[in-house]
Amino acid sequence: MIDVVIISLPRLDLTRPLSAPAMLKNMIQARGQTAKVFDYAMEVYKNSSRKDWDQYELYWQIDLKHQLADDVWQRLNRCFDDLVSGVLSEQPSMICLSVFSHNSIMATNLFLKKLRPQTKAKIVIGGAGINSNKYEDQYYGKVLLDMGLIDFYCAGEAETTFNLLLDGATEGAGINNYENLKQMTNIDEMPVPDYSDYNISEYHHLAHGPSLWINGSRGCVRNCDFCDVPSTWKKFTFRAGECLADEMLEHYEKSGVSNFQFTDNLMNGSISAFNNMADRIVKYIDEGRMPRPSIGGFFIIRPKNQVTPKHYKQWGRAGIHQLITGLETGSDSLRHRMGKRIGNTDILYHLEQCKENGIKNMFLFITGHPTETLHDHQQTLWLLKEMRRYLVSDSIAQILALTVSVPNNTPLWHWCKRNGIKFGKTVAEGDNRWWYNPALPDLTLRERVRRQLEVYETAMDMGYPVTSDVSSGLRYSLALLEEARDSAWEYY
Amino acid sequence: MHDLILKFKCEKVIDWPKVKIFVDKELLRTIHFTQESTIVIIPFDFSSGLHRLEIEHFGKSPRGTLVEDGKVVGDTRFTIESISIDQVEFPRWLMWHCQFVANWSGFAKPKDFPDVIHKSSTVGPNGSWILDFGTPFIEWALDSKKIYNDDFQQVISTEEHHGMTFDINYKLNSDDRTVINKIKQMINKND
Repeated sequence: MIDVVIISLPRLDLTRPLSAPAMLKNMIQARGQTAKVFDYAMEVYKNSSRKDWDQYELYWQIDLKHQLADDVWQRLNRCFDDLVSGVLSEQPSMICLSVFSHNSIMATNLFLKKLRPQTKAKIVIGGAGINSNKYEDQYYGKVLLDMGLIDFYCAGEAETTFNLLLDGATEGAGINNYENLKQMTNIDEMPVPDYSDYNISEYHHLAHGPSLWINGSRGCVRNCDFCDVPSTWKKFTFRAGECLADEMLEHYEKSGVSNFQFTDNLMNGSISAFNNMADRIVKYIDEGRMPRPSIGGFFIIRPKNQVTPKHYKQWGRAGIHQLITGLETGSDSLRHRMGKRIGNTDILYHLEQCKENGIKNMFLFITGHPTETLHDHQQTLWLLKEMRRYLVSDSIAQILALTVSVPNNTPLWHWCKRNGIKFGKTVAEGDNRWWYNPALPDLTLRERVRRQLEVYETAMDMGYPVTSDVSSGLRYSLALLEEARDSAWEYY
Repeated sequence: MHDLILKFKCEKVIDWPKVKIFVDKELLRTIHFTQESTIVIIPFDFSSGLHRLEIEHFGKSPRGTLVEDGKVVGDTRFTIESISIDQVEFPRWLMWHCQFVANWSGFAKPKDFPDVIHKSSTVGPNGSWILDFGTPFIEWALDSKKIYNDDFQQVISTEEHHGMTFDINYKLNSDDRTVINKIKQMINKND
């Protein structure tokens, strides 16, 4: 018998185990209660055929409204019946579901509809997905509460609201409401994730071996127009670099894992904390306490006058290995319109330093921004050519290109509202990719997908490595085009 | 005109190493090193295609190797630290395609010394260190990398599960090509 079970459901990245449930487990155990984590995203993956899993991946994406064939739907239901039985066999008094994003909603609905009639345990949900209003135009947490499928939803940070609930509170900031949420000011107090319930080896990982998530900050120091992070996290808060290095050492000593991926929106938001982390890791390596780790995560390229070759050298020594960076476009002027304060000169300087220090990059591109001209797009193709030399040194490890979405409440969304951008009827439900700018009449949905495809095809012809996301991304674009065509959307 | 840039690190016993640098058997430079680190820049007009770089170590005498109690304690030798063409450096995996053939004239060949040494950029005995490459360099290097990665991925794709691979470099399959063709049809259709 377990006091609290914590469940994560599809759609999740299965590269490595999710950290939030592991963090909750530690938090609960610190209070003297027992807790167990179930990663049901992994269970669904393990119990599905390739074809079924591909179908499920489309089904989870809420804006696609993908219909599963009867036999596939039945197999998914049987799989979820087994998952529910697995939880109930633990006889928990509290069942917590981590709703990772709006693309976890379909799985959460299916799971809860099966679970609720079978248990009197308190059912609690939390996670970023409960803030979504992409399901029935209301906040998802409230929808589930009104349907009677849950007892509580916890909005905001678990460290504050979930702790209240564990204390026995039934109301308060963030408990069954979205009001008066407070952001933790000292995130150094966050519990260290306890990954002991996960079979770490069954995750997909990367070629260089098993890895774990690590969280160093919340929020972002930039305000890119397409991004909703600043509206979620009003303030950028970060952990001390030394504290992060200590956590890595602890994971290494407990599990032998020495590769880490930051969950942060950017790992170098505080340049001083980032440098302190690198210094402390180098110290541990020099003392023989841990091997050189392999560290990756989202990163921002800074103007070249802010970072010296000495910084890059220390990052390389500390195992900063793979950076995921949004270049977005090859056009300096469009990048500036997006709110990114770097130019192609800074990007090429960054690459040169990465080459010198064995640091790899995954670059992200966005095609078809509402103000992207054909010239801007051609600049992207030019930049791909210009950066090609860094493929030889593996300084560019992968690229990813997506069509732009306009999430609600982003600076871009506000800009669209002010500038007469027309939205399709699905505006409230999905990633808001159905939009049309009358000032750029050629920039139809089809043109945006054409540009995405051209970026991919040009890059692959030049020898740029891509991830399997190229496959799922293009399937998504095709589904989007088909839906727009079939519903006779005016600006398809 | 292109720049072939070689970085050498040298050690000496009595005298520094001497080398001749050839590309496609054409002698481009003869160098008698005078210090530990040397960068050699050779402007060269490469035609497109495959080429052979040859660095010949010559003029070392048996006195260039110091042996005490059967162990080598000092040696006249050099290491090719890096090679670049037009500022694009040969990555290590490309350098590994090098080979060295020693010339033992005037020396007694050490027992068990192989006829050809691979994957070493340090040269002690007299002889020729050889590396093949192609131009345009970036295109050739990336083509070589594709072949290298294909071989490499046969080893690393152990993460396969239910036929799903999470490769470093994803390869489009026939289903992906079908999706691309469908997208292209929709893009080109004027409806």
